[in-house]
Amino acid sequence: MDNNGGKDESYFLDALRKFLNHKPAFAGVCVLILEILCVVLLPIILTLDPYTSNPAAFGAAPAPGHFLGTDSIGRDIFARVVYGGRTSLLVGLLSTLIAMCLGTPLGLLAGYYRGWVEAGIMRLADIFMSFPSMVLILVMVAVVGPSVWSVTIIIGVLGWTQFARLIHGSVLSVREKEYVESARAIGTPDFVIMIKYVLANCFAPILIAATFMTANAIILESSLSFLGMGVQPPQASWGNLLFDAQSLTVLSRRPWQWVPPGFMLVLTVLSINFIGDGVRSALDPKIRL
Amino acid sequence: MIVISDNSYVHDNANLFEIRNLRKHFISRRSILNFKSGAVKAVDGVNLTIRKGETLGLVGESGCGKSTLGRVILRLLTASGGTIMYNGRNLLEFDKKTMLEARKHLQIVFQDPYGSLNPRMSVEELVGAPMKVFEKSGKIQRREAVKNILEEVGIGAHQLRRFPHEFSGGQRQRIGIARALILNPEFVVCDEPVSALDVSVRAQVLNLLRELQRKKGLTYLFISHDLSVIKHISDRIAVMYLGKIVELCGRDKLYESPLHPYTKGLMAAIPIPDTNIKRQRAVLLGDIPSAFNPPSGCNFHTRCQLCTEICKNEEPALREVEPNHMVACHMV
Repeated sequence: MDNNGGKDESYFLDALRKFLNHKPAFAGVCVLILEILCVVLLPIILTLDPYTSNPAAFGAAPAPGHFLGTDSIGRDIFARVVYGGRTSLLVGLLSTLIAMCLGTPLGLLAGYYRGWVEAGIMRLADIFMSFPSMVLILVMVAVVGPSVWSVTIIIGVLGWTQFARLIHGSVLSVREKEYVESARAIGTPDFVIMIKYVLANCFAPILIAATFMTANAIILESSLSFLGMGVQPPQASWGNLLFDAQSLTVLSRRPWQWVPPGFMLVLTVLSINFIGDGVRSALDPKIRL
Repeated sequence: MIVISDNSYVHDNANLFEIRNLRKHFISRRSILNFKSGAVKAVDGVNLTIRKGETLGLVGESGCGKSTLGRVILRLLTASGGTIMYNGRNLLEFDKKTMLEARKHLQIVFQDPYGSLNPRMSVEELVGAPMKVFEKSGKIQRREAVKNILEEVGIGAHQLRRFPHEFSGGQRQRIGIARALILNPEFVVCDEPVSALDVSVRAQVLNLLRELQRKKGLTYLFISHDLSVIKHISDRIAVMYLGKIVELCGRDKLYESPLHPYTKGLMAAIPIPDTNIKRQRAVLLGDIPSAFNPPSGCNFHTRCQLCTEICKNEEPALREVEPNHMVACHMV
């Protein structure tokens, strides 16, 4: 940004103030920051070993030494939840970034140029969306082979339609505004209009979609891992920790094995959704807090 | 309403624009299965000259094509046919580069002071935007120019960093005017610039436009549906009905002795704040017909009291019935 330091400041400060006044969103941000700090820093501070099994404690209940207990082959649950958090958060954020980078420009082009560009892009999106996403992802993962990276990329690439459709919709309304016409009247080049006049005013839906997509991606990754098609053991993710809960004995007799990852999953998704709500009310000029 | 009404500015009668048979048809296809399509004839064969330094008022009911005409002249909408001679050259045949150059001299002030300013840009960016497009001037130079023009429209330099939502409607319109004038254009389309404003602010903005015109030698095409506003600002007035100009003459003449039955109807509709004056009522019956399916012959015959057989069949041409007084009517 060249000459608009003041502009960013006032606009974002205003939005930030409203965002922080939204209590659930504020709590969500605190939880999420805490989580990210934990998964990043804990392995550095403590000596956590999520891979080695302790032959003395198979499926052991919480006790000193393993304060969340161990899994069926004696690995420390706490260490696995922390390392699993790294994977799950990474997949969620990265796949959202991929989806956003693909979907936003496509939606922008479709909405701005109309005509065959729009028809091409939006019909392609319709085709993508007409497949049941879970089945499509399962097939693609089966073809490429399951791993953290393949799951991230596939969820991200298939997520572009959400962004494209949303941006397309808001571009359609923004491009008819008089300020876009005023930009045209002074001969502003198309790409400048698209970015400074159109995209800048579609900022709110992008951010909101990004939060909800992140939550969604974390759940998708967990579902895949739960089905054994996501992150592969021994690497941990919250989803494949829940994989253990497929056994009835674990489900009924060893809650320490599935409650912590399940709880983290719910907490994270809930926090992100609250953040999304907060972003929406902070950026929507019609809501004044 | 205190308005400076000084029409002495016109010193040069050379024509800036000569518009011949200008048309803008919006094609509409009804549905995918029904390929029968139609056209809304928003501007349908307009002939008009705009003289250097004058304010040409363009008046008409909602939906008669006033704003469309203004936008077609600036090529914000693509014309369907006709010619626009601008300083002797056809504007409609300008290539991209020439047109970009011409945009420097052709500007527009919009109707809606809330919709016409990008809410994400500060006043400095908004007003400086035209300079950024045309002149590769530095930031400091640009800021100076922005400050100067803002001062001329009555916005203090300390407001540079503010955003549109922090201003009132009248102030926003001043910002819009500053943006239109920063490159010293020669022609400005004022598309109902005061109709969204409070009556008290209206006069201020009108006076400002007048003052700037005198200072900078601007030519205005002033579009409005408000007859009192048009009367105050215009030198000549064109009356538009269903995509066509029906009467064109000097301001005083139009208000004193209108010739076209439609203009007469409009004049009769101006409220007179005196209960003792009896006046002819309801000259204009019914609504404006659809531009999708305009009446045959004279567009106005469906609402005209003087309508005869020829009006239903033959379209009247805009002809000079008195010196500098053009009317399109068979009965005049």
